[in-house]
Amino acid sequence: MAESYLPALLFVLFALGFAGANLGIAMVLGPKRTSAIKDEPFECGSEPIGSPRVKFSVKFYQVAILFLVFDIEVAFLYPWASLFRELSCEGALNVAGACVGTPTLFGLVEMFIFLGVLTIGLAYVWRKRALDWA
Amino acid sequence: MVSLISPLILAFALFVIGMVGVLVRRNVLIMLMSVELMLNGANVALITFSRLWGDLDGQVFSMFVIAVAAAEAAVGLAIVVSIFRTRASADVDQLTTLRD
Amino acid sequence: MIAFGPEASQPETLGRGAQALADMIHLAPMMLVAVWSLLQLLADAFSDPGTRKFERRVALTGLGFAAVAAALQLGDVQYDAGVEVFSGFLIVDPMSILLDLTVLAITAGTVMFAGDFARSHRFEYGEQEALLLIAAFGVMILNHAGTLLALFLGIETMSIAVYVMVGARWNSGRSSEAALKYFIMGAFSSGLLVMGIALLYGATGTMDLAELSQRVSPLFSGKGSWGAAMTDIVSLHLGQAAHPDAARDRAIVALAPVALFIPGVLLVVAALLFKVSAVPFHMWTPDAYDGAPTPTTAFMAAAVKLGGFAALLKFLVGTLQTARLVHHPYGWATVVGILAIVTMTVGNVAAIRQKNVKRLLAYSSVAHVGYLLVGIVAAAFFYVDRAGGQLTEVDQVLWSRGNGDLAVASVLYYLVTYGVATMGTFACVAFYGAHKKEATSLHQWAGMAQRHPGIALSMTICLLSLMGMPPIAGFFGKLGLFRVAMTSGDALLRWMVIFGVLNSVVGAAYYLRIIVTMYFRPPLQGEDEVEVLEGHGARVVVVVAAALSVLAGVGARPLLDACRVAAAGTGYRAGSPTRLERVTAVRDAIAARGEDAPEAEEAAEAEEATGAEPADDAAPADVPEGEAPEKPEGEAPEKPEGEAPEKLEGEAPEKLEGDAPAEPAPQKPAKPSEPPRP
Repeated sequence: MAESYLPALLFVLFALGFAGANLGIAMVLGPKRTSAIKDEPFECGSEPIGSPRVKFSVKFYQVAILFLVFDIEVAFLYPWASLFRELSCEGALNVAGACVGTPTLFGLVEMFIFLGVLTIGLAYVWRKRALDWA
Repeated sequence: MVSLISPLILAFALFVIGMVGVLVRRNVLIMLMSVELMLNGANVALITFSRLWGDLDGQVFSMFVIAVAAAEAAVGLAIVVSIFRTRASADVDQLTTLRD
Repeated sequence: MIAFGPEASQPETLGRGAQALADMIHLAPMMLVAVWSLLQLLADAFSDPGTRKFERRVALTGLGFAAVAAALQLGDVQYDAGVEVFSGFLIVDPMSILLDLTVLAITAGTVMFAGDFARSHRFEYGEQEALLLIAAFGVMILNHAGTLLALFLGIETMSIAVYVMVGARWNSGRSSEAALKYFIMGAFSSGLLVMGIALLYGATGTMDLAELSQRVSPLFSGKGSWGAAMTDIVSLHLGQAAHPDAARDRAIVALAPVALFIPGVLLVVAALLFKVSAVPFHMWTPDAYDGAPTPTTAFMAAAVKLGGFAALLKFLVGTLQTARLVHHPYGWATVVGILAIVTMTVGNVAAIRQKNVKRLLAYSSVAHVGYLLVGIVAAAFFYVDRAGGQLTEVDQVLWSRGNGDLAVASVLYYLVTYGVATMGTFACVAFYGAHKKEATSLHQWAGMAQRHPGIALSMTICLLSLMGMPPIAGFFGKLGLFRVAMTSGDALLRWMVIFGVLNSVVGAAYYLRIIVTMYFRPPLQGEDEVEVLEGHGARVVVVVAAALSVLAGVGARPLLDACRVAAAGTGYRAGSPTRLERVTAVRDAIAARGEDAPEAEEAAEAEEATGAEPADDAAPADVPEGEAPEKPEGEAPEKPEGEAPEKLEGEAPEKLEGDAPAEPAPQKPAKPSEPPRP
């Protein structure tokens, strides 16, 4: 039972190691210059200390809203990905997960239709200049 | 195996908190958040029942609920922004132009 | 449904891709609308803002294609029993096709004047047509829904598009206020809906409506969990249980599904009643209808309501047909029946006090929801009841099913005629006023008939239809609903009908007030004179709606027949032989009548040529259903023609413009005969 979590553990270790290694390399190799501004805690470019009730540009909303919608739609890729083998096979899969029936493009086409609809949304957003920051 | 009662209690607690939030609070943004709580409470319930019946429909449903909730939140925020343009308040009790 | 993997690999006749394609073709009208909405969005994004007029043409073309696809399906016998597509996710049956056509017509009507309205009031936006198509797509999902998921997605697709359209008038604070109110209430109700669906799923373990309907009965029947629990509870109560702990556990386990199920039903019903704005959930209606741009209001009053009722029909009538669930003490029908009475009363009483035409019509639409609910409750009662008396068991079932179908047919007929008339009235409201000045206050309507006699006449016809004036469609809608409700001996239904009739009288007061103001008050002069909308879209819609209202009243036969075919066998599962039998029986009955009075329907259409056709309504009278089997292809051509006037609204507006005055002449206003008895 416990060993079935081994891949997850390995994944966590790898992620920690990768992040740690990058930080370490940056610390060793990166140039070090300090100034008053650079020492401030970073907060997306806004003043770190002051009233929290500053006015944000409405563009933040716009980007946040767009991000929200497109981000969530991607969640539909997960169930599709986990069923991709079954969707690409007309007939049964054998124990190893290989197709014993006829392979089909159904799963692929299906997802392209979905992504196509999303792309139309993206094209619309782009043409309406909702992505321009200026 | 975890008992199915605990996630159900969580689900109903989230749902009721959300429902009370929509009915009691007057700030639009908090009302929006409360609606999200309701939906997520329902999601937890759906996934619990999905597990109870050993059937995936519930999980699929909750995926759609998440997607729809995102779309709804996007539209809701856009409406709030457009209200803010005309009056700098998020209090629904001050919306009194339309009445009998 | 999500059964991929080894157990799903039973031999299929079609591959997955081919199956999906075939399903899409079954859903052609819907798919066309969906694809067209995306095209419309792209067209808006990639064209100059100055070319917005062409968007209306693009949208109307798409709706025309979809309407043709739906009309071709209407007479097609392969859909008679209902075809499940996408593994039962959606269902194509005569009812959904009829409702699709209506929605397409309503959407086309809205598209006709939405652009003009936005241009004149300076809030033009290119997404309007695309949003309308998306909302129409949502309503069509509801028409076809075969699972709770489809129900949810349909409601949300429709609502989200409508939220945007309500708030689209950015230069008016009223519009965004209306949008916010509608949105908050709508989002709240979708929260209730999702939780309700979760509870139903928890109780039954299925999302499929047909499957759900089968799993409901055991929950409540004597043999199932409810009955078993009763034994244990009684023995516990009397202190006679041999093993109290075990008995208690058994009782809890057995009651759990019911304890989940009933709140689930309540939540879903509450959410659906919200969407159609029945009384405790109607608070948003006047505000949202008033603040929204008038074309959006028209769409909400006609199409959104239609979608809501399609969902109510599917969920309440089609799914929850267990006697214990319909009747007292756990039944929804008592609750919904009382709500219906309150709804019509509140709607009418509030409408009387209104000085604002848009709010008045909003409250009147609330009242109409009350009338429609009479039909829903009646249908539910019939489907679970049996006639008493000396009838045999088989005849009792036939009686109840026949009357249930008739009640559903009345609801459909009412929905169609109400949608058309509402469209006309709101188009007229949109027509009256321009350049950021709307004339929604009743006193501004004074003397409108002198300045715009044609429009005023058409508006009057639409209002009379809503009021229920005899030769016009609305009357037959009310008559059908009330008559079928009276057929049942139930006291609740009797009371509903009594209140319905009283309310119709009350309703007449405020409809007549508008008419009187238009005709018998001196017109406003000078400064106060009301400008009217440029473009002919709104005019065409008002006139066509009036023409259709008269046509659907005087020549009610084709539409009534279509409704009867659509309603036949509602209570049975899609694709079941019983359902096919019932639909075929109705089709045969209609065809047999058609033999007696050939070309009767065509005569009604070809109005300018034929003149009076006395042989129409006299002959057929009460041909009982289920006799004289006919060749099925005999009626195939005549069905789409019965629907043709619906389509025309979108396709050939200019052709119909002259119809209104010519309409009432050709036929005597004979009563269409619906044979209600088995």
